[in-house]
Amino acid sequence: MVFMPFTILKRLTSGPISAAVLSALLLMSLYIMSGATEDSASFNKQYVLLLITILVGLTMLVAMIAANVIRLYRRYKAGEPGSLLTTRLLVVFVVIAVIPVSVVYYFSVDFLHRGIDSWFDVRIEKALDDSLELSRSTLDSRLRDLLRSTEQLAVDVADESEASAILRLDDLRARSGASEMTLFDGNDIVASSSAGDKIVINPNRPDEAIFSDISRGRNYAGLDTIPGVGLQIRIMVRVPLIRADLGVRSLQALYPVTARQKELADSVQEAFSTYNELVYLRSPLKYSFTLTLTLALLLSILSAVWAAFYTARKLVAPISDLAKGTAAVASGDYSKRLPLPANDELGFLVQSFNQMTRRIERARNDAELSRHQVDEQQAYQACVLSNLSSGVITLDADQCLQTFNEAASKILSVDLEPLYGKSFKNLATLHSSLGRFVEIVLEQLEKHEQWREEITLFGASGRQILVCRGVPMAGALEASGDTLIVFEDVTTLVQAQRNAAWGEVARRLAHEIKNPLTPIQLSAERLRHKYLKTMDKESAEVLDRSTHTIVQQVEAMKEMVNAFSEYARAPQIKLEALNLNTLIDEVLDLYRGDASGLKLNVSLDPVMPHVEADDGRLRQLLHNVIKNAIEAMQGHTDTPEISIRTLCMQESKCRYVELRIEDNGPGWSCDVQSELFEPYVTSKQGGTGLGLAIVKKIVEEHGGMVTAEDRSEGGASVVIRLPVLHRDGKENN
Amino acid sequence: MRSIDLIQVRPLTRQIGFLALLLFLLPMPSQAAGVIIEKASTRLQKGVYQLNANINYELSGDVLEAINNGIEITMLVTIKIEQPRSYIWDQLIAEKTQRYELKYHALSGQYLVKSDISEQRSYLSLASALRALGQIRALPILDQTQLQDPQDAMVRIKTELDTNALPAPLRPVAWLSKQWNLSSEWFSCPLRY
Repeated sequence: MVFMPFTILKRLTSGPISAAVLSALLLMSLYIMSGATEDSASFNKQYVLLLITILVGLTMLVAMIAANVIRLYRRYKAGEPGSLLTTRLLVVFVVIAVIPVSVVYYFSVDFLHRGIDSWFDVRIEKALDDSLELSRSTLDSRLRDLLRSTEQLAVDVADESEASAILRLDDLRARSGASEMTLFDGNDIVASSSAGDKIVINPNRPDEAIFSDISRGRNYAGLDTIPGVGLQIRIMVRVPLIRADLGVRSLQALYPVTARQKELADSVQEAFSTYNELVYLRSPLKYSFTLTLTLALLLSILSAVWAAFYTARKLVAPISDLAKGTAAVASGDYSKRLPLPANDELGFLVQSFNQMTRRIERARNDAELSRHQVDEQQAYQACVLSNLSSGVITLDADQCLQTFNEAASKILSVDLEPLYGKSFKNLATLHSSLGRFVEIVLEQLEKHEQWREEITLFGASGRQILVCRGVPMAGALEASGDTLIVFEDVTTLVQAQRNAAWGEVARRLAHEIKNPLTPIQLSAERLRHKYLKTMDKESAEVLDRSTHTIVQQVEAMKEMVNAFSEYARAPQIKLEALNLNTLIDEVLDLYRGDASGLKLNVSLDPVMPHVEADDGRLRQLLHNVIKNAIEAMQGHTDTPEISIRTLCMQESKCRYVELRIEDNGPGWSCDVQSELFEPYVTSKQGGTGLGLAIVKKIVEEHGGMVTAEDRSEGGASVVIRLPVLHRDGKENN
Repeated sequence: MRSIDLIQVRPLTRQIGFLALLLFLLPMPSQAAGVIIEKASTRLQKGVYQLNANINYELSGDVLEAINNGIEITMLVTIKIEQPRSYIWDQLIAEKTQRYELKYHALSGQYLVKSDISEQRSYLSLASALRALGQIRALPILDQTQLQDPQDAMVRIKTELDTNALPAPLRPVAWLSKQWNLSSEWFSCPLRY
């Protein structure tokens, strides 16, 4: 609200409406002024109004100009674009407007004065003066005659008393042709008067100055305008002092002027008076005209100055708009659109600017859209990559990690984030369990061609089989020399496949073998039963032994077949946290105090973390290994000895439990060492060859690893590594 | 005899200076310097209140010059009869304006004085003409019946130059120049009966 008057003033001083109003005011004032000096009546009424109007107009203009000057000064101080140009234009406009108007004003005033002066002519004035003088002199001769005759008449009434004078006056008046004759007494009071037929109640009384002249002895003769009569000749003379008692008396006689003389005299008086008045009014007239002209000049100049402000602002507005617009574009704001000033060159410029910014904005929007699309594409790819079950990494020509997905980190059980942009070799340094993986990948990269490799790792989650595939980038990315490496954890798959295959083999074998076994056994028993009695003792013994062997072997085969079935029908593994040491102790209890004199060396790691395993399976595993060792040692040594050691190992971050079972038997046969854990591979007489196969199966089911090796001091050793329960490991740490 | 310069152009600067001075003087309050109402009184004569007043006119050089050049001067004598009121402005009972005209008659060399109620009279000198102009004698101003309570009634008199009666070109000068400021202060006297 405080700024309201200023806002109103600003609006008043900037709009074209105010300019129109002021122009109208100016025109009206000039019209009234020009009319007023011509017409006396309208001049009366309007002069004050006119002056006030003009002064208000002037004040408004001055205020508007002052407001404009202040605004311009502020803009200049603030360094607003366009203020300097506005000032320059303003100065030019003002100079252009003011100089011609001032020149016109100067010459107008000059011509005005000359014009007014030229109305008056020395000769006319002289003629009028002369005519007045002539009129006076003409009247003067008559005045002298009448004075003389009136002086004579005064002598005639000198001896008349006041009472008798009235008749005498009538007589004298009639004789002299006077219209009125009055006798004043010593106190200048009317003594008697005569006015022809009329009865004069209040005779005309001359000016007091005439009485004083009379008293000084000077008679009066002059033209007087008599009320109700008009111009008359007044003669006033002193009455000779004959009688002292009557005092100094005076006689006044009024003589009529002839109609013609009166008319002429009035005409001369009128003309002289009018002309004299005009001459006298010359200066005021000049002053009046000059005042009008000066006010008009001031209004014109101030209007011109204001118009200069307005025009300059109008002209500069699009330029300063352009400057602001350019600044906005420079600062990155392309949405700026400028108002079109007019359909001229500036308008064209502004239009071009708008077009330019529109195009730039469109181009920028397109670029942004493209970028957005690329971002989306990347996000999409990242999403696809992260949701892939396969690990994906890309390496550049310098073998630095460029891309990786979540699956890659998950499969390798490492956070690849810190390795981003770094050499892939660092992976092996930081995680030694991945050394093999890195080694193979780098080896393959050397070849610069597509490759496929199956890599087995032993890491935190146990044994891991990775199928790894490398492809050098093709297409647009070929030049970059990047390589795409995709790998998959096929551990479970391989195991499942293997399990399924062995299961199938076992089932079929069991089925195929089991079928003929019973008839064989029955046949052997029938042979024995039927022919044993009939045979002689020697033959009978042979038959008995043979049939016994058959039956026994068949039984053995049945057992083997059942074992196969067992292998095939392995129940679902049930993992639970258990302490391996306890389990080992429990299993070994069965072998302690064995009749064969088996010596058990047990060395269990006191710091043993829990493992996640199926209790039953693990027991079966231990039985199988121990039984295998016992069977191997039978007949080879008299002091069978089995040493069992557990050890909590730690390789990089991966922790596992190692179970080492060693015997002092013959060791592994070289023939079978490479395929020890395959089914049907055995070096023992009558072995099914499934014992260690089952061991391997169980170890793999637990994500572990089993290896067999010969001991340097003789004997065999089986090394089983089982991953530590991660949660438990933490607790132990 | 007057001498007329056919070409008489004042310098432009002087014109503007004069104008600026006049514009500066314009809003100043007028002061009665030349015209003073010396005394005034009323009396009741045959049921009519009559005014007698003496006004002293002292004319400035400019005005005298104008008169001698045949310009007619009109003085307006405004008479107001008011009833004072304590709580509000005075009640105006009657107002009357009397015109007095003074003019120089070149042919006879006399000054003519004329008013609304009296006939034109001529005077040999301006002094006697002004004296006659300033003497208001037995001017009827109010009928007795018009006034209910004449106790506190006051008569207020003021005389001023009628600028509107001046010739048009002279009026701006008369408005703006102090020389032409022929205006008296208000003179008050009780209404006697």
